Amino acid sequence: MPKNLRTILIIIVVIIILGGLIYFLSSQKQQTIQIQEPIRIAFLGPLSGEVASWGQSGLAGAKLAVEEINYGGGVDGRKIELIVEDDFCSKDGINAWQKIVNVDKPVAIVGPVCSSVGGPALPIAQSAGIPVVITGASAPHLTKIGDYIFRIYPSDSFQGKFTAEYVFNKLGKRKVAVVYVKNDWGQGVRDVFVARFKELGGEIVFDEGVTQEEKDFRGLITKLKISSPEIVYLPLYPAGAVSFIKQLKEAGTNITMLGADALEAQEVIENEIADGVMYVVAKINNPEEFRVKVSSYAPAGLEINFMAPAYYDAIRILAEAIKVAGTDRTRIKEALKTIKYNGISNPAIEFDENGDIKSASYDVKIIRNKKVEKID
Amino acid sequence: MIISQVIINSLIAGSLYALVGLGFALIYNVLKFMPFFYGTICIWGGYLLYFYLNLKIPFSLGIILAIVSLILTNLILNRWLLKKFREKGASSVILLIISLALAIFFENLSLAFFGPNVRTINLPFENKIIKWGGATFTISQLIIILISLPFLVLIFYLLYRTRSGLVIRALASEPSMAEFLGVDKEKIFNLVFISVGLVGSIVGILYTIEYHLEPTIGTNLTIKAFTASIIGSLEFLPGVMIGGLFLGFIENLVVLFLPTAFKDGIIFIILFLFLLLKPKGIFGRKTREEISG
Repeated sequence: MPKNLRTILIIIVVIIILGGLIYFLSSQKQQTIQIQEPIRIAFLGPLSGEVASWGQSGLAGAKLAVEEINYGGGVDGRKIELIVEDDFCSKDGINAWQKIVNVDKPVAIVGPVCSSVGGPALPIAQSAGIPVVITGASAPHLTKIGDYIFRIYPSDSFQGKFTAEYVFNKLGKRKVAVVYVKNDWGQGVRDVFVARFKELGGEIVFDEGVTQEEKDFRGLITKLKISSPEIVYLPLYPAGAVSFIKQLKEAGTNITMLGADALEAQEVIENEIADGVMYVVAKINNPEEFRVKVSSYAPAGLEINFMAPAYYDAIRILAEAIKVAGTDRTRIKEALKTIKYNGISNPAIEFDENGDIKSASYDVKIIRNKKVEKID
Repeated sequence: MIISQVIINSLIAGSLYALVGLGFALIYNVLKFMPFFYGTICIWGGYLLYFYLNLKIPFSLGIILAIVSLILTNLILNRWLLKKFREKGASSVILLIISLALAIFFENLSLAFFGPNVRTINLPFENKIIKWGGATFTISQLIIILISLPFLVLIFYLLYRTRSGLVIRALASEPSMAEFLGVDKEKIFNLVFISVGLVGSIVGILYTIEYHLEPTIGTNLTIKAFTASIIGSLEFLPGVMIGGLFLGFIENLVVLFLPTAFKDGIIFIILFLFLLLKPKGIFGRKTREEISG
């Protein structure tokens, strides 16, 4: 019996020593793995839904940025890994945001494109302390959600103001009808536009919000025609805008239509109904050679739009910040506040005290024969 | 001038609602479950037309093919899926769940085949604008009214003036008695699905011509069908047709006085009021049990 006990003891001791040794060695190995573990950055944008072309272009831009950074040796020897989620550009996308923030816990997030998801989703990232670089969502209040929120796309307070001044001064129109989508974005643009246009001395003869899903505008158009506006301003999303434009033309009017930046989408431009419609869009540089580079990361046939350079720059800026600050999220946030970056979309990206881009300029474009021409 | 425009607008929307409501109520009455997939199936009529036109098939042939394919889809759905569940004696709750599952299935099917983007079809003629009696409308809108209104009358005639119509109605109101008198239930079910396939394809094609295609619009159409049925009277088919037209008028009148964003809200309030105060609809008659009890 005691002999047996001794063998058992010896076996236990050997197991403990071996176990300890294996643990020690493996933990050593784990540490070396950890050094090479990639820096995770999350991509959020619409990959399906009515504005899928923005998200798909954006994803291609983000992939190009990641590929270039990783090819050049990564950030401090660590590669960047992109986690991709679809946020549908609608409030349904909140689940995707929650999953990213709570499960994936990335170092930083790029996106969203749309304010409708940004409004409810950004507070989640803010309270988790994850820095976000917004690529497209332009509702003015978004950057005020907190100090972790930055935006490389100009706020709508610039867009509404620019559009009001353009309509009043350049186009010389005094009576405007406004038809807008009732969400964070549409309401934001409309509020600034209406306030500025009245301030200039113009008259808002018709002003109505519609839901994002609305397809039947005939009743609204009947009322709109009675108010006899000189121009219709329509901050609508693509699907709604296509229906509205079609039904307004079918109502036998030829009132000038001026859209907002949301009309810069394939769904609108390639629809023959949109011929002659103008829109205002933030000046986001998207040079030919960049588009060619991006297109190899995009699905075939996709027209590379302004979201590609936006997402590309967002990833690049975060990489710059991480280079300075490491992967500590608070320090990344501090680094973003003072960063100066020469981007593709904008040659001088700098953030103001809200986290908004400092310089913004706009283009006015017109859709002719399924092509876009710049007119101002 | 506004009145004539409102009437035209209401007729365009209302006649489509009447048709889709009719198909919805027909399935409900004969098969005794809520077909929440019906709007999505209707939209497939439009998607099929889009598909055939993309194969460079002439427009008229494309329409015929779309109608035939949708009728076949409905027939297959009945014979190979719903029949199996009926044979197992599935309760109406099970059928309701199946009906919701089918709605999601067909919506995702269109998403998988045609993608999330907006699809439009080009008409083979110039869609001229007509001004008449103070109202403005297009040729395609005129076609919608000129097809759907006579079509409603035709269905009405078939149901109330033919033998098959009589059998369908008999099966709807007294299923056990009809069976006792020798009605072949399965044969009538097939007939019903052929009819709702025909109605559905017409709705889908007209809807596509007037608006555009998107995977999610089917659900919206189902809601309209449901509302039209409740307002009219789920169990009285001519009532459903009038319910649909009524819905079209309500929508356009609401928009005239209130912001467009209120439209769906008002519709739901009306639906709610009907369910609460007149659950059998405008034309609902009390059943024998209710009168004696």
